[in-house]
Amino acid sequence: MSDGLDGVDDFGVNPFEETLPDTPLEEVPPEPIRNIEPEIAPKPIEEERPLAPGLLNYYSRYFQLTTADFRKRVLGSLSLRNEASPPDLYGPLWITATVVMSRFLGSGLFTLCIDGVFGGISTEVKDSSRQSWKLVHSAWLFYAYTLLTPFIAQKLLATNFIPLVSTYGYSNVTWIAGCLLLSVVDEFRRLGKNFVITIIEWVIVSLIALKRSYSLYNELEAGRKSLPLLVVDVAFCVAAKILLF
Amino acid sequence: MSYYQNPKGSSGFYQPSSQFAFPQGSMSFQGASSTSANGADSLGISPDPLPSGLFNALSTKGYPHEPPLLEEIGINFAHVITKTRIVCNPVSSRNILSDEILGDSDLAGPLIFFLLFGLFLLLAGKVHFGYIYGVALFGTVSLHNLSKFMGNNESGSPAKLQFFNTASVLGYCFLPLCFLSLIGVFLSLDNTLGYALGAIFVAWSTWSSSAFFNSLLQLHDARALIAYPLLIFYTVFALMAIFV
Repeated sequence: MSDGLDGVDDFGVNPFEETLPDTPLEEVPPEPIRNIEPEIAPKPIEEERPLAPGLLNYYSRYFQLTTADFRKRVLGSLSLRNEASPPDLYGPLWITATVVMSRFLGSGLFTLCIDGVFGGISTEVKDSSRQSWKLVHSAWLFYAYTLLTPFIAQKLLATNFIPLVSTYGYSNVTWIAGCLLLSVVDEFRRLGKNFVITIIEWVIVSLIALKRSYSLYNELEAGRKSLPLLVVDVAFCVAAKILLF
Repeated sequence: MSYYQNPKGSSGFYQPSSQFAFPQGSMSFQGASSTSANGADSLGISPDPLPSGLFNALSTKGYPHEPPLLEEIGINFAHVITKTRIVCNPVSSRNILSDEILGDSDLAGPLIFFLLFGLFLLLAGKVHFGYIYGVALFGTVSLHNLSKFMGNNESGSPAKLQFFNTASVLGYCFLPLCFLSLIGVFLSLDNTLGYALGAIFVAWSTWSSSAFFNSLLQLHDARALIAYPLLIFYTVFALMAIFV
């Protein structure tokens, strides 16, 4: 019966006893050890390849900014000075969303303040289908302009796309103030002086277009090459006035 | 199935003998040869029988070694309560946000809160379940992608934020808006008081959720940036409760 220890105590000679061989041992050429794969030198660690612009994660770097950076850029886009800042996509995305929201909520907010809070009159939601229509138009108009115009500018000026989107996105800050101001002015239509109100609105839109053109001219740094883009921008401001106000 | 039907176990993968096998619940394979006629295994130990009777059949009782049902389906009431408390008291919760809470992706609480919100609106005469689900889904997907982009990672790659983490945080921080819709059952919110309450509850939700995301994404000086999209997200629900 096997005890599971076969071969343990089957030594013919004491393996620990030192003995000299009678005949010299023949030199046996060392045989290569089989079934053991030769050691392969470890491959050098490959450097991480940069992400291609077609991948979504590529744009992650343009969303990593601090509140201070963002504030600085927003204030810079409101001022007339040209301050160079690293481009980002957070601003273009959310500033444009704010423009759309300020157009949608602005008029209702001022009506609410004047009638509901100060006047104590129960306010009803203005023509909701008209409001929804303006919301849809402001969304497609502002987002399409902010994202598509940089394509044209890229071809025209032979520069990178992302900085152009950033520039156009931050230039929309002017429209936030503009939308709120136009909403306030629009409330005075109830006084019955439509002609005067319309002129004031066109003046405000002209000022917005002027400010945007000046900022874009400075930030694009392309001299006369940027003139067609400025014409397109003025046309955009006129379209926004006609469609939204 | 042929592996399981082989009585000798001579082919297929290794199966330990029954005395060394780890109990695997009621669905585990019990070899016919390992148990005797009276149900005892080779060690003479009979498994605990399932409790019989109609009430036991309808209850969640099972074998003693089985995990509880809530654990099996991933609902941890302790976490639900802890996260709810943190949302209810966002000012003093700054130091309580442990990794365990932050990494939790429980969706039971959010589901309850969204259903409660819809139910309270329903009691106020507004049927908006479709809007709630739609806005919640679209908003969660958008905010998840934005949060991943904004996640500050030293390697430069986006943060390893799971979608259900984002959904859980957004859902738990939705609780204050449930209070708003509850008030809307008894009072009309389409007045100055309603607007003020709406603003307060939206700010509450935004504050709580931005604190969660700030810790989760380890943002540095970017809490206001993540708070702004969250503010818009919760504002949509408040508008739904007040105006629609």
